[in-house]
Amino acid sequence: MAREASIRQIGVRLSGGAQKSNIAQRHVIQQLAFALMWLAAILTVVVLLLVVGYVLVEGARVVDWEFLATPPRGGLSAEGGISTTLVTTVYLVLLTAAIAAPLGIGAAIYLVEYAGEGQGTSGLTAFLVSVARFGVELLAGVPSIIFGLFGYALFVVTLNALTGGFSLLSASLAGACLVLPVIIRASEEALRAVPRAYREGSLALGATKWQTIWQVVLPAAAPGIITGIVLSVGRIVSETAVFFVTLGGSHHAPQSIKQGGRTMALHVYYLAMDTRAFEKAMGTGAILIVTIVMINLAINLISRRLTAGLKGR
Amino acid sequence: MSMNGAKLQVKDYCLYYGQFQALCSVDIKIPANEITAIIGPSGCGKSTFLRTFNRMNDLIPGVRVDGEVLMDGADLFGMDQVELRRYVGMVFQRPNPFPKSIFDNVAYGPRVNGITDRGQLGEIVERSLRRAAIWDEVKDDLGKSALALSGGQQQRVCIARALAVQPEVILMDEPASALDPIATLRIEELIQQLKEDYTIVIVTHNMQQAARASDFTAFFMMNEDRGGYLVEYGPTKSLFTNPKHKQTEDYITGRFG
Repeated sequence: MAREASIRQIGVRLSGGAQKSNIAQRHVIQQLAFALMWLAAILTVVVLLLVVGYVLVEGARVVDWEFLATPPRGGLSAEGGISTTLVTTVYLVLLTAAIAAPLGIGAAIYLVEYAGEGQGTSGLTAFLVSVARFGVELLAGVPSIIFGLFGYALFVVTLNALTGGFSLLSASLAGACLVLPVIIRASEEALRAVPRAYREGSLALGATKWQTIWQVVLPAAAPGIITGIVLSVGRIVSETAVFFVTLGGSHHAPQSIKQGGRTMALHVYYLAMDTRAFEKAMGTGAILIVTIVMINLAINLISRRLTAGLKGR
Repeated sequence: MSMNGAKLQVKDYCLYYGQFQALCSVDIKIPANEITAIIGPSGCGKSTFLRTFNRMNDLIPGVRVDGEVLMDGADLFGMDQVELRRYVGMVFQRPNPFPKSIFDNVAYGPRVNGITDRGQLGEIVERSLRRAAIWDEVKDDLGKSALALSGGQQQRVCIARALAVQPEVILMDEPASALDPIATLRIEELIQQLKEDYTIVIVTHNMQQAARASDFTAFFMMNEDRGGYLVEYGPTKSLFTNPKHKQTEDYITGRFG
């Protein structure tokens, strides 16, 4: 009893005696805020499920083995399946990654290991580095159709003799421009996260800077770098604008990198706009969504595996 | 002062970070096959001084040095710094094994120096791990990640890694400060065994450690401008029992620092 009384006394003293407790009111406000946030979260999930669910359910009606394994006939009839668009998507992803990954990782290594803070760069180098950094930021914000227009002007038209005009090569070069910022940023982040102690440990053993980067820093940064590459693969799979103006749109599978084709995402576009085969567009969309989900699962799996491997678990 | 021949000799050595003078006219002779401890309060430049001998300070932009540092009479700053680090190994404050297997950690140094023969690497790895008193604990899982070991084991793997390139000098930057007392004792025992073959320079915060585990002790302090300088240097026993400077006495009796 005495204790309770003394607590009350303290309460009175703290609130200056005259102030009334507003604790009930503050609790109500908190509950209101939580309820609103909960509602927002639920709405987001519902919208997401509706979109994905609608496409999957609609698409599932036409998707079967035959749909996956037959090439589209082309033209307005929209008969046939999507086999060649699947193949084209795979080709395009591989070629784009092969172009963008070495460039992006190389640029990130330069920015972090050779021109990063504490490297004592000055004058021209420092200026060039800040220009490169700004360029990466800028590239990341450019709408994809601009990359498409650029790719059309440079690769399809100007370098026609080299790229074969509308072709896998033109499209992957333009696509590489699109995903470069993704790969550079992810790699930069991954490289920066490698502890200084690894670098010092390696240098102290008489390794050169390059040996240190190649044998210690890059393997330690691999999970982050691979995540960046897989993210950009997702970007390529879902991109339409860039490839609409660089890949040509043929429904045949390309026989060389100098021939065009259409990816699944482009196929959805053509089906929806040029034909009445809306259900086939949905079917292709469903496959597209499943692909994206699988890519995301792959990211998680790879980075978890690699990280566990590094930690020795 | 009785000592073996000087392995490392420092003459009127100063180090600057830009305008700031971090070390002022240090003169010291570090004898071969002995353990030399460097003690002093935080910020007195102990670690910076240690990193002179494998030129790790060269990696920091804006660092400038004055004076002379000789190893076996040859100018240290005239050597190729990558080549130098093969002869002057280093063990860091926190165990820093690479995220690789135990084998690959120890084989790393020999590999970057050009040894590729698997059998030869195996011999080097075993010899180094034995020398670092950790072979028996890890011989059955050399393929296991070194990061899965305990802190003390990791530090001994790091010592083995340093030994694998057959250095002549080993620098240790508070090698036991991140370890528990038992692991610390094992590291100290190990250091005693290593001095037969190597010249050891060890920075330590722990005065008991310096007193029980070293043959010579150098005491550093900082001046009013926070620049580090050498106060006193001599055989550990006489420095601890009969310090010549008041500052040394104050420091080792725990009056400051």
